[in-house]
Amino acid sequence: MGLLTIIRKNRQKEREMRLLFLGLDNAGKTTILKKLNGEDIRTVSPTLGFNIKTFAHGRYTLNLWDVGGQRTLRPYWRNYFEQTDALVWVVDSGDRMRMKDCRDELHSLLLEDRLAGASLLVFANKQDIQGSMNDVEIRDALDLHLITTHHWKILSCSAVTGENLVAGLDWVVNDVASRLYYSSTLTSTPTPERSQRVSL
Amino acid sequence: MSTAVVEDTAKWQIAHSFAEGFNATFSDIESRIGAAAAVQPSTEIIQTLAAEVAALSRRLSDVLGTLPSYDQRQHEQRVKSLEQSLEKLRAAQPKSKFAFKRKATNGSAKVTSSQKPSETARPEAPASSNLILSSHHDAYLGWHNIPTPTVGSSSDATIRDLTNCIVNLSSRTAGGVQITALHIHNLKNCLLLLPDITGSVMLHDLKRCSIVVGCHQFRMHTSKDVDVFVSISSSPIVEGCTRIRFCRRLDPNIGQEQSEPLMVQDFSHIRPTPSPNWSLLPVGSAPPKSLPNNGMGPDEVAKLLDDTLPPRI
Repeated sequence: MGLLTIIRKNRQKEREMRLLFLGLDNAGKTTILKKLNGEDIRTVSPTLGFNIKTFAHGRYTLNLWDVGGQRTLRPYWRNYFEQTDALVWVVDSGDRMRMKDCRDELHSLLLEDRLAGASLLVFANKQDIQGSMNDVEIRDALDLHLITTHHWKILSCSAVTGENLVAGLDWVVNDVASRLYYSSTLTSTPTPERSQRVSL
Repeated sequence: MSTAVVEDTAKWQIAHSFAEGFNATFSDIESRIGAAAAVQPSTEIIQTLAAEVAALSRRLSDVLGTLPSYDQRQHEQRVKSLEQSLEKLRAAQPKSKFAFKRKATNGSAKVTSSQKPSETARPEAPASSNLILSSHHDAYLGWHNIPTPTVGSSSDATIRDLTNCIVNLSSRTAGGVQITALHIHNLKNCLLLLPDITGSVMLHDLKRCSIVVGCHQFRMHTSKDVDVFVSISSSPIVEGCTRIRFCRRLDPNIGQEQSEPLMVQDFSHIRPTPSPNWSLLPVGSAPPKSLPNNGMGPDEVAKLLDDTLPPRI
Protein backbone atom coordinates (compact mmCIF):
# COMPACT_ATOMS: atom_id res chain seq x y z
CA MET A 1 0.00 0.00 0.00
CA GLY A 2 1.64 3.17 -1.18
CA LEU A 3 1.31 6.58 0.31
CA LEU A 4 -1.04 7.69 -2.43
CA THR A 5 -3.39 4.84 -1.62
CA ILE A 6 -3.43 5.77 2.02
CA ILE A 7 -4.16 9.38 1.23
CA ARG A 8 -6.94 8.36 -1.10
CA LYS A 9 -8.54 6.06 1.43
CA ASN A 10 -8.34 8.77 4.01
CA ARG A 11 -10.03 11.27 1.77
CA GLN A 12 -12.63 8.72 0.84
CA LYS A 13 -13.66 8.55 4.46
CA GLU A 14 -13.95 12.29 4.68
CA ARG A 15 -15.58 12.76 1.30
CA GLU A 16 -15.01 16.46 1.54
CA MET A 17 -14.41 18.88 -1.26
CA ARG A 18 -13.25 22.43 -1.21
CA LEU A 19 -14.65 24.74 -3.87
CA LEU A 20 -13.27 28.22 -4.33
CA PHE A 21 -15.61 30.83 -5.82
CA LEU A 22 -13.74 33.68 -7.49
CA GLY A 23 -14.51 36.33 -10.07
CA LEU A 24 -14.59 40.08 -10.53
CA ASP A 25 -16.67 42.19 -8.17
CA ASN A 26 -20.37 42.32 -8.98
CA ALA A 27 -20.24 38.85 -10.58
CA GLY A 28 -22.73 37.41 -8.08
CA LYS A 29 -20.54 34.99 -6.11
CA THR A 30 -22.13 35.63 -2.74
CA THR A 31 -25.61 35.64 -4.22
CA ILE A 32 -25.00 32.22 -5.76
CA LEU A 33 -23.85 30.86 -2.41
CA LYS A 34 -26.82 32.31 -0.59
CA LYS A 35 -29.24 31.04 -3.21
CA LEU A 36 -27.75 27.54 -3.00
CA ASN A 37 -28.12 27.69 0.74
CA GLY A 38 -31.71 28.91 0.54
CA GLU A 39 -30.98 32.27 2.15
CA ASP A 40 -32.44 35.67 1.39
CA ILE A 41 -30.52 37.24 -1.49
CA ARG A 42 -32.01 40.72 -1.31
CA THR A 43 -29.66 42.07 1.31
CA VAL A 44 -26.37 40.81 -0.10
CA SER A 45 -23.69 43.49 0.28
CA PRO A 46 -20.40 43.56 -1.59
CA THR A 47 -18.07 41.13 0.16
CA LEU A 48 -15.32 42.63 2.25
CA GLY A 49 -13.34 39.52 3.15
CA PHE A 50 -14.84 36.10 2.53
CA ASN A 51 -17.77 33.76 3.24
CA ILE A 52 -17.77 30.03 3.83
CA LYS A 53 -20.75 27.73 3.40
CA THR A 54 -20.74 24.06 4.12
CA PHE A 55 -23.41 21.75 2.89
CA ALA A 56 -24.04 18.19 1.87
CA HIS A 57 -24.32 17.44 -1.82
CA GLY A 58 -25.09 13.83 -2.57
CA ARG A 59 -22.50 11.75 -0.77
CA TYR A 60 -20.11 14.62 -0.35
CA THR A 61 -19.64 17.51 2.00
CA LEU A 62 -18.86 20.67 0.12
CA ASN A 63 -16.96 23.60 1.57
CA LEU A 64 -17.68 26.64 -0.55
CA TRP A 65 -15.33 29.58 -0.15
CA ASP A 66 -16.36 32.90 -1.59
CA VAL A 67 -13.76 35.66 -1.59
CA GLY A 68 -14.53 39.28 -2.44
CA GLY A 69 -13.66 40.31 -5.99
CA GLN A 70 -12.98 44.04 -5.65
CA ARG A 71 -9.68 45.00 -7.21
CA THR A 72 -8.13 45.77 -3.84
CA LEU A 73 -9.07 42.30 -2.58
CA ARG A 74 -7.76 40.28 -5.52
CA PRO A 75 -4.19 40.08 -4.18
CA TYR A 76 -5.64 38.17 -1.21
CA TRP A 77 -7.13 35.44 -3.41
CA ARG A 78 -3.89 33.49 -3.24
CA ASN A 79 -4.39 32.93 0.48
CA TYR A 80 -7.27 30.63 -0.38
CA PHE A 81 -5.66 28.45 -3.06
CA GLU A 82 -4.32 25.71 -0.79
CA GLN A 83 -6.25 22.42 -0.91
CA THR A 84 -8.72 23.72 -3.47
CA ASP A 85 -10.36 20.90 -5.41
CA ALA A 86 -12.27 23.06 -7.83
CA LEU A 87 -12.31 26.66 -8.91
CA VAL A 88 -15.68 28.18 -9.73
CA TRP A 89 -15.17 31.30 -11.81
CA VAL A 90 -18.26 33.50 -11.74
CA VAL A 91 -18.82 35.99 -14.57
CA ASP A 92 -21.23 38.91 -14.74
CA SER A 93 -22.54 38.18 -18.24
CA GLY A 94 -23.74 41.75 -18.66
CA ASP A 95 -20.40 43.35 -17.91
CA ARG A 96 -19.08 43.62 -21.46
CA MET A 97 -16.68 46.40 -20.66
CA ARG A 98 -14.67 44.33 -18.21
CA MET A 99 -14.71 41.05 -20.11
CA LYS A 100 -11.04 41.43 -21.01
CA ASP A 101 -10.20 42.14 -17.38
CA CYS A 102 -12.16 39.04 -16.47
CA ARG A 103 -10.29 36.92 -19.00
CA ASP A 104 -6.89 38.14 -17.82
CA GLU A 105 -7.66 37.48 -14.16
CA LEU A 106 -8.87 33.98 -14.93
CA HIS A 107 -5.89 33.03 -17.07
CA SER A 108 -3.44 34.31 -14.51
CA LEU A 109 -5.15 32.17 -11.87
CA LEU A 110 -4.72 29.10 -14.04
CA LEU A 111 -0.95 29.58 -13.92
CA GLU A 112 -0.95 29.17 -10.14
CA ASP A 113 0.83 26.05 -8.95
CA ARG A 114 -1.49 25.54 -6.05
CA LEU A 115 -4.52 25.48 -8.34
CA ALA A 116 -2.92 22.98 -10.71
CA GLY A 117 -5.24 20.07 -11.24
CA ALA A 118 -8.28 21.83 -9.84
CA SER A 119 -11.39 21.49 -11.96
CA LEU A 120 -12.67 24.74 -13.41
CA LEU A 121 -16.35 25.60 -13.68
CA VAL A 122 -17.24 28.90 -15.31
CA PHE A 123 -20.63 30.25 -14.32
CA ALA A 124 -22.01 32.71 -16.89
CA ASN A 125 -24.20 34.37 -14.30
CA LYS A 126 -27.06 36.86 -14.58
CA GLN A 127 -28.77 35.16 -17.49
CA ASP A 128 -32.07 36.43 -16.11
CA ILE A 129 -31.06 39.93 -17.23
CA GLN A 130 -31.97 40.81 -20.79
CA GLY A 131 -28.93 41.97 -22.71
CA SER A 132 -26.49 39.57 -21.08
CA MET A 133 -24.01 37.67 -23.19
CA ASN A 134 -24.77 33.97 -23.54
CA ASP A 135 -22.44 31.14 -22.60
CA VAL A 136 -21.02 30.76 -26.11
CA GLU A 137 -20.12 34.45 -26.28
CA ILE A 138 -18.56 34.30 -22.81
CA ARG A 139 -16.60 31.19 -23.70
CA ASP A 140 -15.08 32.98 -26.67
CA ALA A 141 -14.52 36.25 -24.81
CA LEU A 142 -12.66 34.43 -22.04
CA ASP A 143 -10.65 32.27 -24.48
CA LEU A 144 -11.66 29.13 -22.65
CA HIS A 145 -10.61 26.96 -25.58
CA LEU A 146 -6.99 27.86 -24.82
CA ILE A 147 -7.18 26.11 -21.45
CA THR A 148 -5.45 22.77 -21.58
CA THR A 149 -4.17 22.49 -18.03
CA HIS A 150 -7.52 22.14 -16.30
CA HIS A 151 -10.75 20.31 -16.86
CA TRP A 152 -13.25 23.05 -17.55
CA LYS A 153 -16.88 23.56 -18.29
CA ILE A 154 -19.02 26.64 -18.80
CA LEU A 155 -22.64 26.83 -17.70
CA SER A 156 -25.05 29.70 -18.03
CA CYS A 157 -26.85 30.35 -14.80
CA SER A 158 -28.84 32.83 -12.78
CA ALA A 159 -28.32 33.34 -9.09
CA VAL A 160 -31.67 35.10 -8.90
CA THR A 161 -33.76 32.33 -10.45
CA GLY A 162 -31.44 29.52 -9.37
CA GLU A 163 -31.17 28.20 -12.93
CA ASN A 164 -28.32 25.69 -13.39
CA LEU A 165 -26.71 26.31 -10.00
CA VAL A 166 -27.20 22.75 -8.80
CA ALA A 167 -26.31 21.38 -12.24
CA GLY A 168 -23.01 23.24 -11.96
CA LEU A 169 -22.27 21.74 -8.56
CA ASP A 170 -23.13 18.32 -9.96
CA TRP A 171 -20.52 18.67 -12.67
CA VAL A 172 -17.89 19.93 -10.23
CA VAL A 173 -18.55 17.14 -7.76
CA ASN A 174 -18.43 14.45 -10.45
CA ASP A 175 -15.30 15.83 -12.00
CA VAL A 176 -13.47 16.14 -8.70
CA ALA A 177 -14.72 12.76 -7.53
CA SER A 178 -13.51 11.02 -10.66
CA ARG A 179 -10.07 12.37 -9.91
CA LEU A 180 -9.82 12.06 -6.14
CA TYR A 181 -11.91 9.07 -5.26
CA TYR A 182 -11.92 5.76 -7.01
CA SER A 183 -15.46 4.61 -7.41
CA SER A 184 -16.02 0.92 -6.66
CA THR A 185 -15.80 -0.11 -10.31
CA LEU A 186 -12.59 1.73 -10.83
CA THR A 187 -10.76 0.29 -7.85
CA SER A 188 -10.82 -3.14 -9.46
CA THR A 189 -8.87 -1.80 -12.41
CA PRO A 190 -6.62 0.96 -11.17
CA THR A 191 -6.06 3.62 -13.78
CA PRO A 192 -2.95 5.71 -13.81
CA GLU A 193 -3.36 9.38 -13.08
CA ARG A 194 -4.35 11.02 -16.32
CA SER A 195 -1.58 13.13 -17.70
CA GLN A 196 -3.94 15.96 -18.55
CA ARG A 197 -4.67 16.52 -14.90
CA VAL A 198 -1.11 17.34 -14.12
CA SER A 199 -0.23 20.87 -14.90
CA LEU A 200 3.16 21.57 -16.41
CA MET B 1 -18.56 -11.26 -9.99
CA SER B 2 -21.25 -11.61 -12.65
CA THR B 3 -22.44 -8.06 -12.03
CA ALA B 4 -18.92 -6.86 -12.63
CA VAL B 5 -18.93 -8.59 -15.98
CA VAL B 6 -22.27 -7.05 -16.91
CA GLU B 7 -20.98 -3.66 -15.87
CA ASP B 8 -17.85 -4.13 -17.91
CA THR B 9 -19.85 -5.08 -20.97
CA ALA B 10 -22.12 -2.09 -20.55
CA LYS B 11 -19.12 0.12 -20.11
CA TRP B 12 -17.48 -1.29 -23.20
CA GLN B 13 -20.61 -0.68 -25.23
CA ILE B 14 -20.85 2.89 -24.06
CA ALA B 15 -17.19 3.47 -24.86
CA HIS B 16 -17.61 1.86 -28.25
CA SER B 17 -20.64 3.88 -29.31
CA PHE B 18 -19.06 7.04 -27.96
CA ALA B 19 -15.87 6.38 -29.91
CA GLU B 20 -17.82 5.93 -33.15
CA GLY B 21 -19.58 9.28 -32.90
CA PHE B 22 -16.48 10.98 -31.59
CA ASN B 23 -14.23 9.73 -34.38
CA ALA B 24 -16.74 10.69 -37.07
CA THR B 25 -16.90 14.26 -35.78
CA PHE B 26 -13.15 14.30 -35.35
CA SER B 27 -12.37 13.36 -38.94
CA ASP B 28 -15.00 15.77 -40.19
CA ILE B 29 -13.44 18.70 -38.34
CA GLU B 30 -9.94 17.55 -39.24
CA SER B 31 -10.65 17.51 -42.94
CA ARG B 32 -12.29 20.92 -42.76
CA ILE B 33 -9.32 22.38 -40.93
CA GLY B 34 -7.13 20.91 -43.64
CA ALA B 35 -9.30 22.50 -46.32
CA ALA B 36 -9.27 25.83 -44.50
CA ALA B 37 -5.49 25.76 -44.21
CA ALA B 38 -5.18 25.42 -48.00
CA VAL B 39 -6.97 28.75 -48.60
CA GLN B 40 -6.83 31.92 -46.50
CA PRO B 41 -9.62 31.23 -44.00
CA SER B 42 -11.85 33.99 -42.65
CA THR B 43 -12.13 34.64 -38.93
CA GLU B 44 -15.69 33.33 -39.01
CA ILE B 45 -14.58 29.98 -40.34
CA ILE B 46 -11.87 29.68 -37.72
CA GLN B 47 -14.27 30.59 -34.96
CA THR B 48 -16.83 28.09 -36.20
CA LEU B 49 -14.15 25.42 -36.22
CA ALA B 50 -12.96 26.46 -32.79
CA ALA B 51 -16.50 26.18 -31.47
CA GLU B 52 -16.82 22.69 -32.90
CA VAL B 53 -13.52 21.60 -31.41
CA ALA B 54 -14.61 23.00 -28.07
CA ALA B 55 -17.92 21.16 -28.37
CA LEU B 56 -16.05 17.95 -29.10
CA SER B 57 -13.81 18.45 -26.11
CA ARG B 58 -16.85 19.14 -23.97
CA ARG B 59 -18.46 15.96 -25.20
CA LEU B 60 -15.36 14.13 -24.06
CA SER B 61 -15.25 15.78 -20.66
CA ASP B 62 -18.92 14.92 -20.17
CA VAL B 63 -18.20 11.22 -20.27
CA LEU B 64 -15.01 11.40 -18.25
CA GLY B 65 -14.53 8.46 -15.98
CA THR B 66 -16.86 6.20 -17.92
CA LEU B 67 -14.31 5.50 -20.65
CA PRO B 68 -11.41 3.10 -20.39
CA SER B 69 -8.26 5.05 -19.74
CA TYR B 70 -6.65 4.05 -23.02
CA ASP B 71 -9.62 5.34 -25.05
CA GLN B 72 -9.69 8.41 -22.92
CA ARG B 73 -6.08 9.20 -23.71
CA GLN B 74 -6.56 8.55 -27.40
CA HIS B 75 -9.53 10.88 -27.54
CA GLU B 76 -7.76 13.55 -25.57
CA GLN B 77 -4.80 13.40 -27.93
CA ARG B 78 -7.10 13.79 -30.90
CA VAL B 79 -8.74 16.86 -29.39
CA LYS B 80 -5.32 18.24 -28.64
CA SER B 81 -4.13 17.68 -32.21
CA LEU B 82 -7.20 19.54 -33.47
CA GLU B 83 -6.50 22.41 -31.12
CA GLN B 84 -2.92 22.56 -32.29
CA SER B 85 -3.78 22.69 -35.97
CA LEU B 86 -6.37 25.31 -35.13
CA GLU B 87 -3.71 27.36 -33.38
CA LYS B 88 -1.58 27.16 -36.51
CA LEU B 89 -4.52 28.47 -38.53
CA ARG B 90 -4.94 31.31 -36.07
CA ALA B 91 -1.26 32.15 -36.14
CA ALA B 92 -1.45 32.49 -39.92
CA GLN B 93 -4.23 35.06 -39.52
CA PRO B 94 -3.46 38.77 -39.43
CA LYS B 95 -3.90 39.93 -35.84
CA SER B 96 -7.03 41.88 -35.07
CA LYS B 97 -7.94 43.90 -32.02
CA PHE B 98 -9.99 42.30 -29.28
CA ALA B 99 -13.66 42.98 -29.92
CA PHE B 100 -16.99 41.28 -29.52
CA LYS B 101 -18.14 40.03 -32.86
CA ARG B 102 -21.80 39.45 -33.25
CA LYS B 103 -21.66 37.56 -36.52
CA ALA B 104 -19.08 35.06 -35.42
CA THR B 105 -20.86 34.12 -32.25
CA ASN B 106 -24.04 33.66 -34.22
CA GLY B 107 -22.28 31.02 -36.24
CA SER B 108 -20.90 29.18 -33.26
CA ALA B 109 -24.21 29.40 -31.45
CA LYS B 110 -25.76 27.51 -34.30
CA VAL B 111 -23.14 24.82 -34.04
CA THR B 112 -23.72 24.07 -30.41
CA SER B 113 -27.44 24.52 -30.51
CA SER B 114 -27.90 20.92 -31.61
CA GLN B 115 -26.44 19.87 -28.28
CA LYS B 116 -28.29 22.33 -26.12
CA PRO B 117 -31.84 22.95 -27.27
CA SER B 118 -32.36 25.38 -24.41
CA GLU B 119 -30.01 27.81 -26.08
CA THR B 120 -32.08 28.24 -29.21
CA ALA B 121 -35.10 29.07 -27.10
CA ARG B 122 -33.32 32.07 -25.64
CA PRO B 123 -34.10 35.35 -27.42
CA GLU B 124 -31.28 36.79 -29.47
CA ALA B 125 -28.99 38.86 -27.31
CA PRO B 126 -27.87 42.04 -29.06
CA ALA B 127 -24.20 42.85 -29.54
CA SER B 128 -24.29 45.21 -26.59
CA SER B 129 -26.64 45.82 -23.75
CA ASN B 130 -30.14 46.84 -24.74
CA LEU B 131 -30.37 50.35 -23.40
CA ILE B 132 -27.42 52.62 -24.10
CA LEU B 133 -27.07 56.31 -23.47
CA SER B 134 -23.68 57.52 -24.61
CA SER B 135 -21.59 60.30 -26.11
CA HIS B 136 -23.50 63.49 -25.36
CA HIS B 137 -22.48 66.86 -24.00
CA ASP B 138 -24.25 69.98 -22.73
CA ALA B 139 -27.70 68.44 -23.05
CA TYR B 140 -30.83 67.47 -21.20
CA LEU B 141 -31.35 63.75 -21.80
CA GLY B 142 -34.31 61.51 -21.13
CA TRP B 143 -35.77 58.18 -22.17
CA HIS B 144 -36.30 59.51 -25.70
CA ASN B 145 -32.50 59.70 -26.16
CA ILE B 146 -32.12 55.98 -25.61
CA PRO B 147 -32.61 53.80 -28.64
CA THR B 148 -34.65 50.80 -27.56
CA PRO B 149 -34.08 48.07 -30.12
CA THR B 150 -35.72 45.14 -28.36
CA VAL B 151 -37.91 46.42 -25.63
CA GLY B 152 -38.79 43.74 -23.18
CA SER B 153 -40.23 44.29 -19.77
CA SER B 154 -36.76 44.43 -18.25
CA SER B 155 -33.23 45.01 -19.46
CA ASP B 156 -29.77 46.09 -18.44
CA ALA B 157 -28.60 49.60 -19.27
CA THR B 158 -25.36 51.46 -19.92
CA ILE B 159 -24.70 55.16 -19.49
CA ARG B 160 -21.30 56.33 -20.66
CA ASP B 161 -19.19 59.18 -21.98
CA LEU B 162 -21.30 62.20 -21.04
CA THR B 163 -20.10 65.71 -20.21
CA ASN B 164 -22.18 68.56 -18.74
CA CYS B 165 -25.45 66.67 -19.02
CA ILE B 166 -28.64 66.22 -17.08
CA VAL B 167 -30.01 62.70 -17.39
CA ASN B 168 -33.60 62.32 -16.27
CA LEU B 169 -34.85 58.75 -16.34
CA SER B 170 -36.80 59.06 -13.12
CA SER B 171 -40.19 58.92 -14.77
CA ARG B 172 -40.54 55.43 -16.12
CA THR B 173 -42.28 56.24 -19.35
CA ALA B 174 -40.45 54.27 -22.03
CA GLY B 175 -42.88 51.39 -22.14
CA GLY B 176 -42.32 50.84 -18.44
CA VAL B 177 -38.94 49.19 -18.95
CA GLN B 178 -37.50 47.95 -15.68
CA ILE B 179 -33.73 48.32 -15.51
CA THR B 180 -32.24 45.24 -13.83
CA ALA B 181 -28.56 46.16 -14.00
CA LEU B 182 -26.87 49.48 -14.66
CA HIS B 183 -23.31 50.20 -15.80
CA ILE B 184 -22.07 53.78 -15.71
CA HIS B 185 -18.72 54.85 -17.17
CA ASN B 186 -16.83 58.05 -17.68
CA LEU B 187 -19.11 60.95 -16.80
CA LYS B 188 -18.08 64.53 -16.11
CA ASN B 189 -20.22 67.30 -14.62
CA CYS B 190 -23.46 65.37 -14.83
CA LEU B 191 -26.67 65.15 -12.86
CA LEU B 192 -28.37 61.76 -13.04
CA LEU B 193 -31.91 61.15 -11.88
CA LEU B 194 -32.41 57.41 -12.19
CA PRO B 195 -35.28 55.04 -11.50
CA ASP B 196 -35.18 52.16 -9.05
CA ILE B 197 -32.87 49.43 -10.33
CA THR B 198 -33.80 45.92 -9.24
CA GLY B 199 -30.19 44.73 -9.48
CA SER B 200 -26.83 46.34 -9.00
CA VAL B 201 -25.29 49.58 -10.17
CA MET B 202 -21.62 49.66 -11.20
CA LEU B 203 -19.90 53.01 -11.68
CA HIS B 204 -16.44 53.77 -13.06
CA ASP B 205 -14.63 57.05 -13.60
CA LEU B 206 -17.05 59.79 -12.60
CA LYS B 207 -15.95 63.36 -12.01
CA ARG B 208 -18.09 65.97 -10.27
CA CYS B 209 -21.49 64.37 -10.59
CA SER B 210 -24.71 64.00 -8.63
CA ILE B 211 -26.66 60.77 -8.76
CA VAL B 212 -30.11 59.94 -7.47
CA VAL B 213 -30.88 56.25 -7.62
CA GLY B 214 -32.52 53.34 -5.88
CA CYS B 215 -30.83 49.97 -6.19
CA HIS B 216 -29.96 46.65 -4.67
CA GLN B 217 -26.18 47.07 -4.71
CA PHE B 218 -24.00 50.10 -5.38
CA ARG B 219 -20.31 49.92 -6.34
CA MET B 220 -18.33 53.00 -7.33
CA HIS B 221 -14.76 52.86 -8.65
CA THR B 222 -12.08 55.46 -9.42
CA SER B 223 -14.30 58.53 -9.07
CA LYS B 224 -13.96 61.99 -7.60
CA ASP B 225 -16.33 64.62 -6.21
CA VAL B 226 -19.61 62.76 -6.48
CA ASP B 227 -22.80 63.24 -4.47
CA VAL B 228 -24.88 60.09 -4.19
CA PHE B 229 -28.51 60.08 -3.09
CA VAL B 230 -29.40 56.46 -2.81
CA SER B 231 -32.10 54.23 -1.45
CA ILE B 232 -30.54 50.84 -0.92
CA SER B 233 -30.94 47.71 1.18
CA SER B 234 -27.24 46.75 1.31
CA SER B 235 -24.02 48.70 1.96
CA PRO B 236 -22.78 50.90 -0.87
CA ILE B 237 -19.07 50.57 -1.52
CA VAL B 238 -16.39 52.80 -2.99
CA GLU B 239 -12.95 51.82 -4.27
CA GLY B 240 -10.24 54.18 -5.41
CA CYS B 241 -12.51 57.20 -4.87
CA THR B 242 -12.07 60.58 -3.21
CA ARG B 243 -14.49 63.21 -1.91
CA ILE B 244 -17.65 61.14 -2.29
CA ARG B 245 -20.70 62.29 -0.32
CA PHE B 246 -23.57 59.95 0.43
CA CYS B 247 -27.10 60.65 1.51
CA ARG B 248 -29.87 58.15 2.06
CA ARG B 249 -32.70 58.99 -0.26
CA LEU B 250 -35.97 58.88 1.58
CA ASP B 251 -38.16 56.41 -0.18
CA PRO B 252 -41.87 57.15 0.22
CA ASN B 253 -42.68 53.50 -0.48
CA ILE B 254 -40.65 52.17 2.39
CA GLY B 255 -41.45 54.72 5.07
CA GLN B 256 -39.09 55.97 7.72
CA GLU B 257 -37.54 52.57 8.50
CA GLN B 258 -34.75 53.38 6.10
CA SER B 259 -33.72 56.61 7.73
CA GLU B 260 -30.85 55.02 9.66
CA PRO B 261 -27.47 56.27 8.38
CA LEU B 262 -25.86 54.51 5.44
CA MET B 263 -23.03 52.10 6.12
CA VAL B 264 -20.63 52.86 3.29
CA GLN B 265 -17.56 50.66 2.90
CA ASP B 266 -14.34 51.91 1.36
CA PHE B 267 -12.42 48.98 -0.10
CA SER B 268 -9.30 51.06 -0.55
CA HIS B 269 -9.28 51.89 3.15
CA ILE B 270 -9.63 48.57 4.95
CA ARG B 271 -8.79 49.81 8.44
CA PRO B 272 -10.66 50.48 11.63
CA THR B 273 -10.24 54.23 11.19
CA PRO B 274 -12.93 56.14 9.28
CA SER B 275 -12.25 56.48 5.58
CA PRO B 276 -11.17 59.95 4.45
CA ASN B 277 -12.64 59.30 1.02
CA TRP B 278 -16.34 59.62 1.74
CA SER B 279 -18.68 61.46 4.08
CA LEU B 280 -22.39 61.65 4.80
CA LEU B 281 -24.53 64.55 3.74
CA PRO B 282 -27.12 65.70 6.25
CA VAL B 283 -30.40 63.85 5.85
CA GLY B 284 -32.82 65.90 3.84
CA SER B 285 -30.32 67.46 1.46
CA ALA B 286 -31.41 66.60 -2.04
CA PRO B 287 -31.05 67.77 -5.60
CA PRO B 288 -34.08 69.42 -7.25
CA LYS B 289 -36.98 67.02 -7.29
CA SER B 290 -38.93 68.30 -10.22
CA LEU B 291 -37.30 68.89 -13.56
CA PRO B 292 -39.21 70.13 -16.59
CA ASN B 293 -40.38 67.22 -18.70
CA ASN B 294 -40.18 69.07 -21.99
CA GLY B 295 -36.44 69.57 -21.93
CA MET B 296 -34.11 72.45 -21.16
CA GLY B 297 -31.87 74.68 -23.19
CA PRO B 298 -28.08 74.41 -22.86
CA ASP B 299 -27.90 77.57 -20.76
CA GLU B 300 -30.51 76.31 -18.34
CA VAL B 301 -28.68 72.98 -18.13
CA ALA B 302 -25.42 74.73 -17.34
CA LYS B 303 -27.03 76.86 -14.65
CA LEU B 304 -28.82 74.00 -12.99
CA LEU B 305 -25.64 71.89 -12.99
CA ASP B 306 -23.71 74.75 -11.44
CA ASP B 307 -26.31 75.04 -8.68
CA THR B 308 -26.61 71.34 -7.85
CA LEU B 309 -23.31 69.60 -8.46
CA PRO B 310 -20.63 69.33 -5.77
CA PRO B 311 -18.42 72.45 -5.54
CA ARG B 312 -15.55 72.69 -8.01
CA ILE B 313 -12.20 72.15 -6.38
